[in-house]
Amino acid sequence: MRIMTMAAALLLLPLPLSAQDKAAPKQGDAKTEYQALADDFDQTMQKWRQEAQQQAAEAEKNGGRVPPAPALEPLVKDLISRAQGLAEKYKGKDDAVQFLVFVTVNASGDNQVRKAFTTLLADHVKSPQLAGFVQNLPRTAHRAGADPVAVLGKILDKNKSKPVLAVALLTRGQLRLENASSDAERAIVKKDLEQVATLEAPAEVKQQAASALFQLEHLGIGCAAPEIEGKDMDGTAFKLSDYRGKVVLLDFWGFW
Amino acid sequence: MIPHERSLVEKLQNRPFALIGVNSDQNLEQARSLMQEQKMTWRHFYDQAGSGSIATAWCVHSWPTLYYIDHQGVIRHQDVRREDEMERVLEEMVTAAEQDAGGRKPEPKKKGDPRK
Repeated sequence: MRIMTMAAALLLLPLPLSAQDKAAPKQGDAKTEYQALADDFDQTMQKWRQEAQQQAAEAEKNGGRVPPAPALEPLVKDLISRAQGLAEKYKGKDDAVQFLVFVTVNASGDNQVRKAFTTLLADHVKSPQLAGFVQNLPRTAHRAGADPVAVLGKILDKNKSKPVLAVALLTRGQLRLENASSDAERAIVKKDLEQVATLEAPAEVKQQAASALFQLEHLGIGCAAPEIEGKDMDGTAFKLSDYRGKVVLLDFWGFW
Repeated sequence: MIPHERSLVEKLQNRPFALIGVNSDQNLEQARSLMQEQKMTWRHFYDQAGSGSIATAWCVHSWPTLYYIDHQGVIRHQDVRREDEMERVLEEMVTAAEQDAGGRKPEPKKKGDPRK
């Protein structure tokens, strides 16, 4: 659980920030408040990581077992309360969205996640600021006891913002792609992903949709493996198709 | 993982099977010497990370990623990782390859083994 929380926290920062790029920059407004919150969160995470590394290094020096990382919850608790307060301050307005998303991604308590999640869907389902929420849905929905695909369906139904729709279609496509095993299921995924290209959306979103589409059409079970032409570790050129007639176990790996 | 792969390669060495790595290490020299140390005798594509790489083309987001490609070049499984499952799946695929080759007897042994 702790690892998951950390992973979610690491993923958070760029998302709500990019989601509010277009907000007008006014002094002392929600944008500034959010930036301060995000900065404080960043620092807290850094401190926490350093502590964990120090503990591990000491344990190693003393030949002991590496202790579990220090609890993140007490460190983040105040930031969550702050985000909840700011969400309350902007209640019902688009500005509340980023703070609510912050809570859904970073809160340790499932109850806090569920509450922010419910508010987002009740008050902000039509908000043009919803992209960050949508991107994080695969990680947050289960904590709120919701089915991410169903939530995406609701957003796609009610929201009119093209960038939000694009992210929602991409996310739903990616989620369904993982489980698509029949032609009918793959056709549904394809429809979502193809639609992303027709919407006004950041280049990165379109690129991800194109990549998922390629995965669907060329890298699924039953697809002809795309050709690979490359060089081996000694610089000798060879191709994947040189091995036709043999079963090939293709292993993407590295020592790092 | 590597010891199991080594044993797979050994076990299937006279059968229609090849393990092919796609190595994305930054440092080629270091990777080469580590491979030697680990007795990784099978072949690898050297894949410099970044756009245009094989990993990008194959939409690989996490490492390691495994693809099981049959003797006709069709993807049959992805990311089967448990050792016993890997062996079961490969045995099934290799047997199918042998049966196919047996059915079309005229296919002579290829000139030179493409494996190093």
